[in-house]
Amino acid sequence: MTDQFQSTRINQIPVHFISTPKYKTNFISLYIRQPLTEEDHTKVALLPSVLKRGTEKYPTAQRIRQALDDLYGATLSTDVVKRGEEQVMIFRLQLANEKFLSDREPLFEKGIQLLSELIINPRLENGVFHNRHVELEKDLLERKLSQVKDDKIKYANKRCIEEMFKTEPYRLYPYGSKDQLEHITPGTLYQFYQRVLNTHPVDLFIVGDVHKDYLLEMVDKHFKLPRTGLIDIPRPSVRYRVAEERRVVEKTKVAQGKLHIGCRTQTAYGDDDYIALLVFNGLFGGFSHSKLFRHVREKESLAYYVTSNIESHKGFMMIMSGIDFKHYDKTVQIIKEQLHQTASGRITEEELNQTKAMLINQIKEANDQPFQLMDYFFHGIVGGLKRSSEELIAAIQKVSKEDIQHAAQKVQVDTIYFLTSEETGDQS
Amino acid sequence: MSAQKLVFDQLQETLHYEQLPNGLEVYVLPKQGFNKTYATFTTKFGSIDNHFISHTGEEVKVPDGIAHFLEHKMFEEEEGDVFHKFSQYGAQANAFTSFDMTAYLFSCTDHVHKNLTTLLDFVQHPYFTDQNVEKEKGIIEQEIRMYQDNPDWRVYFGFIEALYHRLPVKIDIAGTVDSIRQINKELLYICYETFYHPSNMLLFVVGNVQPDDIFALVKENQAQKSFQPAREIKRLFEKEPAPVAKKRHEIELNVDMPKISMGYKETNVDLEGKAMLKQELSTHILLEMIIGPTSSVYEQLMEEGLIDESFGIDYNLEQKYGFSIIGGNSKDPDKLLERVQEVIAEVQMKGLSKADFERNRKKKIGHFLKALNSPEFIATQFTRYKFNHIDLFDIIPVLESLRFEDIEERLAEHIHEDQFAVCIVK
Repeated sequence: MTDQFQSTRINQIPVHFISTPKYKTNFISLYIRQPLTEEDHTKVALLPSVLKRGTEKYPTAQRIRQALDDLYGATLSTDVVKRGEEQVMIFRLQLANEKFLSDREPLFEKGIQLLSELIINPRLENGVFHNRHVELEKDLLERKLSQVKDDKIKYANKRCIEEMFKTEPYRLYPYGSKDQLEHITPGTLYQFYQRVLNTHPVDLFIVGDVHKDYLLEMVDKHFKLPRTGLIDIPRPSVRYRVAEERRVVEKTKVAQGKLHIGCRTQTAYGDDDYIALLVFNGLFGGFSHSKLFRHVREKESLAYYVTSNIESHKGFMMIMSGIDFKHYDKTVQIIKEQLHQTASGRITEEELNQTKAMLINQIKEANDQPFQLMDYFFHGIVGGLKRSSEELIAAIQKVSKEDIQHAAQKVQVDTIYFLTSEETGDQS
Repeated sequence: MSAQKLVFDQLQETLHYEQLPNGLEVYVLPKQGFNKTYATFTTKFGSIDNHFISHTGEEVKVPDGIAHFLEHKMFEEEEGDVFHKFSQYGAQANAFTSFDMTAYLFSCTDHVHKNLTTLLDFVQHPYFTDQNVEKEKGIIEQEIRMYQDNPDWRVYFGFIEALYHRLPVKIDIAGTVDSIRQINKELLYICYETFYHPSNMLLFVVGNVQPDDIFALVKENQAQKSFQPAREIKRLFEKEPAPVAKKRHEIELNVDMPKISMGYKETNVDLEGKAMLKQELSTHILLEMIIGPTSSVYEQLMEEGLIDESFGIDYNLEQKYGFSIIGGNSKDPDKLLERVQEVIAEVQMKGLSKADFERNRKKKIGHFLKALNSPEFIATQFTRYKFNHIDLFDIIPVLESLRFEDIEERLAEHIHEDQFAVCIVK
């Protein structure tokens, strides 16, 4: 029932594809990876938007958008994400399949062509990126960075991570920093991009109702990068003993307190007990039957949302909740108590089965969503271990209470961050 | 009575439909090759329905936020909360309340029949006690406070508040911390008995399912339950004056980046069926043509630093109300307001372009095909449209039949200075 990617290499680029009649549209994504560094992370954040500003053939953003509209409202989106201690640019294109249209234009080929045009032939001026485009995107990025403060959940997340990973590259925000932004010029950005194109790992993904031979032929015809060698991106260290739990309280004008607790899991994607950690997280705070939801929300009515998420590559877990300012101590205490309970093996058979059923359901559901499927497969590339969904499901089924208990014992609270109201006293 | 089939050739979809003796409408859309099944069980009862004739024939006015409160409370059963039951069978359950409806839903990849039974049973089994109603107030209070800190939500509601004098669409769906305190179990039962009758509800199942099996299950489930005879629901609305309530509404929220929402209150309401769909689609296209991402002015506004990628346009049309909305983040919302008004005045003077019309129509068709990959979209939008006597699958034929003149008519009808309002959060 699950769709699996087939992988091959074309023009030195790994191409992962699924040919299936399931969808009414075709999906193409390009992932470009780089190590997360203070020096370059803002350039990476800026690049996809500068590339979306114009190409040789479509010199303005408006021309690109019109070209997309002409392809029956094709959508092109870009994103920059953090996966462990690397930063990844993602370009996603979705196009209608012409078989549902009265007018049978070869949309797939035009889509591949457009994406390759965007990556390979950006609009240049005096041999570097177009100055006005870079200035405009720098301004937009700067505004985006100022705005993080306005979304309190996002802001608390960012701040908790910055505090917790002070001395590690993981502290860096994937959308860059204002300080670095100032120094970027069309020249330095273009130079950096050339290096990226030549030497950084790239993966191309395609899912759709397109015959394999035709699909590969189109990639071969339109997608040629100037590859000259590949850099190696080391995997981050996840072993970290927490010497002392830290508390950070910040005050601002809010109606609700944001409690974010960063934990070390000591476990990475490729580790043997990663699957146990996955089940632990589901049981602890991943679902509406989880311990946190039941105890913090249902029993005590302290919150509307309370959840935990794990990051797969850096061994990090974040617990998040929105609470009344005066309930800080009580909520932290309940959360810690539940963590402790799990680590000491207070896990019922029912909880275990529910969590497994929910996780397996999530994995199977992702099989209906090509972009999610690509993201999942890409985790395997970053983590250095590709598990098919069948293998993952089988591994989840095997996880025992003891496995979860062991995974939970490795989880340590590192930093408790609380964003609270200006009007509360010092003791929140 | 057996299920009817509606075949949509061009889209390669077949929709199965049956109305049960108790009035419940059931739709099943099989999706081969999909793992996921998604089901929604929806009642036509939303936040605007706060004044009505109850099932016992009395006129009732209920506190703000009650439809949403009821949604929360439906999940509680004598033996605990129903999420528990769903998660035993690997289903992700949820619910949402809008202005016009309350939907309960789940998605799963296994045990579809068990989960569907759970869905039907919990929505048709209210269990409210003084204690469990009290307990919910803390949770909903936190939900309300979460939205108070969210500038996008604030600017959206601030805008609707500016548009309407009396229609309850201006009230926040969750109500206020004060209004929810007035809710008790008796009021919840009145709403439940009035609006959760099968004849006011629709079940939609989409996914890897056999329609016959689904119909058999639902029929058997419903046959075991007894319901009062269906009666017509009377909703009471005060007369809403045509002009906007206030031209400008400002909210202080101490944000780094101000936000603006502006647009027009629709005067041509009380539509249904194809006429309503046609108005909805042509207004969407009109707005896209005037100021959407491929209009030339969009690019200028971007270059002037007045908008960013959050800038968007939308049009909402229901039976009782309708409005267009334009906005997003802006460094200088007043300047943006001025520019948008200039652009609109220019279009009114110079007219629209046929090429823009064709391109935007094409884009809408493509976007609709894309949306058909999403079971969530199909189920929720199908239901919303059906409550307005519209068929979701009419979207492509109606788009194809639109004429340039239809868009011009909309420009003349919808865009009026008296109907314009703006809300700014800063």
